[in-house]
Amino acid sequence: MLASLLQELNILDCAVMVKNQDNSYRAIHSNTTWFSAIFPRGLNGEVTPENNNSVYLTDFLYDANKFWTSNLDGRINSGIWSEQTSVGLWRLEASAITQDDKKYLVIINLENEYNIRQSTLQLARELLISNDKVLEQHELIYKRIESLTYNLSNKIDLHSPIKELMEHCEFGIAMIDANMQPLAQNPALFHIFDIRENDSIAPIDIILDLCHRQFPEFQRVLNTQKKWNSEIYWIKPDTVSRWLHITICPVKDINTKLTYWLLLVTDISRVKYLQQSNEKLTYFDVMTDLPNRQFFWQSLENAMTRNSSLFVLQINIKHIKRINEAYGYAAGDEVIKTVVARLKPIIGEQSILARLGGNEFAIILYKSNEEECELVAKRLINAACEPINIINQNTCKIGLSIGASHYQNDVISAQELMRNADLAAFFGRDKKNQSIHFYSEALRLQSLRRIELEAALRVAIEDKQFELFLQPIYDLQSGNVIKAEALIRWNKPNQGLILPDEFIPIAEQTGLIVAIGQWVIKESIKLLEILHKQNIPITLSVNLSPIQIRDQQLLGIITNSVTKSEIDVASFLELELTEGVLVDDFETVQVFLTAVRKLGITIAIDDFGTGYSSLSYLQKLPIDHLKIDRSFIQELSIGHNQNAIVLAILAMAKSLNLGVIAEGVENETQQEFLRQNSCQSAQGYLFSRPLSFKQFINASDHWSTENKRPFSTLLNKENSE
Amino acid sequence: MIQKKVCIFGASAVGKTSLVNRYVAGIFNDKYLTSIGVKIDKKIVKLNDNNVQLMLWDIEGIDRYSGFNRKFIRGASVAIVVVDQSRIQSFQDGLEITRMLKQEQEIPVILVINKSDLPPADAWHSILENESPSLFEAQLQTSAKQNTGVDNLFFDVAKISLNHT
Ligand SMILES: Nc1nc2c(ncn2[C@@H]2O[C@H](COP(=O)(O)OP(=O)(O)O)[C@@H](O)[C@H]2O)c(=O)[nH]1
Ligand SMILES: [Mg+2]
Repeated sequence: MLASLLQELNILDCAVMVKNQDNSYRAIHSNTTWFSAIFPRGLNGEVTPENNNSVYLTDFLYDANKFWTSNLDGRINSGIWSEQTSVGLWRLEASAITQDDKKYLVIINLENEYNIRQSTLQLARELLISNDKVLEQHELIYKRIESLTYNLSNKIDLHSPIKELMEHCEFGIAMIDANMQPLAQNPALFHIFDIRENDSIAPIDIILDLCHRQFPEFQRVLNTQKKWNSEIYWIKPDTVSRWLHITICPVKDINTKLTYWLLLVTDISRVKYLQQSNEKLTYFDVMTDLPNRQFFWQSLENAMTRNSSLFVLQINIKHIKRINEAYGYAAGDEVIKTVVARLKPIIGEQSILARLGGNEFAIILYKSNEEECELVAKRLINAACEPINIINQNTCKIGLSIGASHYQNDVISAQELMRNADLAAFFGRDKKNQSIHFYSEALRLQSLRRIELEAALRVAIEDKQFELFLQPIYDLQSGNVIKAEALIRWNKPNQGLILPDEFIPIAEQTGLIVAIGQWVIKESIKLLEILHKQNIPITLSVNLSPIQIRDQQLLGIITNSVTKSEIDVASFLELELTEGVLVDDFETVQVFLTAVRKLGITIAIDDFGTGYSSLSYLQKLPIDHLKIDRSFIQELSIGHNQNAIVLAILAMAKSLNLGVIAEGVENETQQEFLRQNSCQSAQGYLFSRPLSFKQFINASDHWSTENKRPFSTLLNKENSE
Repeated sequence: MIQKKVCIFGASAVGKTSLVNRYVAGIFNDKYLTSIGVKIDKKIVKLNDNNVQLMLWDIEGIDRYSGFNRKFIRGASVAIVVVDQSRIQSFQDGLEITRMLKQEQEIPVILVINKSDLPPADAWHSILENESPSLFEAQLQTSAKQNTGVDNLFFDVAKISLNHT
């Protein structure tokens, strides 16, 4: 019995005790020095673990007794501990075991294992700490330079405090303009590369070249203006080679336009070589025990020479950042480990799953066609998306975005293959439904277009290529125009008018919406002033995007513009928010709306009825109008069902004392229904399309004379001209 | 004699082991040797009317290689969370550990800012002020290296442990 047990445990320097019925123990294997130092023996050779000399062991016996009482077969461990005895320092671990109705207490000397773990973790921790320090320093300098830049006017003055800071910084710093041309490079940077300031090649050339060659995602990082950091390897043949930690950060102005790039470079060769002396650390990620980036590259290159067809999958775990922020990094790490444990069995033994860094993973998958690949991806996504338990009985959900590229005996490099997979993953990142995206020429063109559009939008903001169109809103009783909704159009050079559906989503994703929104407010106020001077005293209604509500400057801008104006603009300005905003971010919205309302501005809820049915917030927020979504109005003439919804909204608005505006009114039947049921106002093609400001002013001439439906006919004429 | 269990937590290399070694054995080593698992040391603190035997649980640094094991604080009277003032991240880690501790059980937590002989990291003071609110029962500065504040720390620990059972 004992022999087999010990064999199974694969240890000999241990002590084994059997628990008797009467709670005493019998030592059946205990001829070790440390054992007698911990357990004083009774006269008959019996041991009494309850009276042992080890505080840690006593503590473990609580757990052990609980476990034995449960009568379940199995084993629990105490975790390793160090015990100082009269005869030396020992590294021990205790286990409570139940097997075939017998209960054992086993203590094992883990000296060897302790030493192995210590030497591995020693390095890992030294690396972790030095990495922390590098990141901390980079972040700090970035913040400082960014704030110094912010206070400068447009021009970067290199004799400023920035220059001072760069001169004295102990690691390398470079500033590069949007076209990747160097603006400044500090002495430390020249020093790293062993270059003199007037040499023909500059450090920055070397770095950019290395980044492009060693990181497939680098061009995308530049295109999308993201912050990024990584480690690169530089070698100067026959002389030196260095490992460098690189951070690249965009420094932007208030319009989120890139002022310049900041490049921070620290020499980390010492720790890197230390790390490489330990093979486990060189090729494996210590947290997940998966192969790391280096290992993956090697495997990929080998696989491409050996196989004629394979897929590379690039996987990003989504929402990890959110989990880190909400529950801390330890929780985020646990989530990553859980996901890895779920993915591993799915991809099987042959394929390679590696952790490239952070929340990025990659797989080499030996499948012959996209369909098979898609099946695997589906299983990966399903497994990963099951809820995950985290601290304190909370659960969370993550998502996967998967990009894939296919290798088929092409003349394509491993780098290109990875770059394509990365692009495909990036493409799928913002998509709601999760699936795998395969790299294709079409996808490349599409993402190019997106990147181009983003760049063009930045120019548009600067060159003021936007224009506000106005769509009149009618009072259904009097037939007078009482309001107009301001709708943005983009006059893209050589392309004509672009509708908001096409560019607002991109503006929202990139944060450009903030600058655009600020322009819309200012422009609306300008138009209001002109209208009123021309005796057209109507209200302008302006759309706000959810992201704008969180723009700290917005309230200031509104207040400023409103108070600066000669006329009482506030009383003629209305802000439109969608239902979703109210629910998502109730407190921010409440503070914002209350402040805006104080100025005299009114509030309307856009697309009403499409979102959330909880109406309690309508009472809690200072709201003036509801705009019934066009989808309900369009159905008005056909079904009774939709009529009921519109009637319900009207009744509710009445009881809450809110005004109602119907959107998308297109025919007489709809107008008649709304009028009969006391809907106050309406907009839609029946009355007028959105008009340019000039058209709007012209049209206004007809309003006083021809009240009812003044210029839909007129407009059609204008358009066909 | 009264015995009290005291748990020492913190990120790796903030000086947990050094503080215990300084206090219990009067020694300090500049070389960093990472701890694995737990080591328990005992020392008697003489207070005015009582002698208290502290059982100091020096616990492996909590980081991505070694998680927080909630069972360690079972029966503890005080928890010490050590941070290294030359490393901002160690403070962030300390805060996180403290939150986990508080979730597990109501226990006084003492924040120890170690390595006071080194210059503090940039922005250390402002971050400390902003983020270290009422979470801590007490907050002390120590240097295991120069032996400042160490005796003081464990004296306070003993006093606080008596108020908590
Ligand atoms: N300068 C200075 N170094 C210290 C101090 N305390 C510890 N250290 C050093 O910090 C490193 C980590 O210490 P250690 O006690 O092993 O940290 P632990 O991982 O928290 O147990 C060692 O190199 C110590 O010599 C201190 O007060 N001042
Ligand atoms: Mg230690």
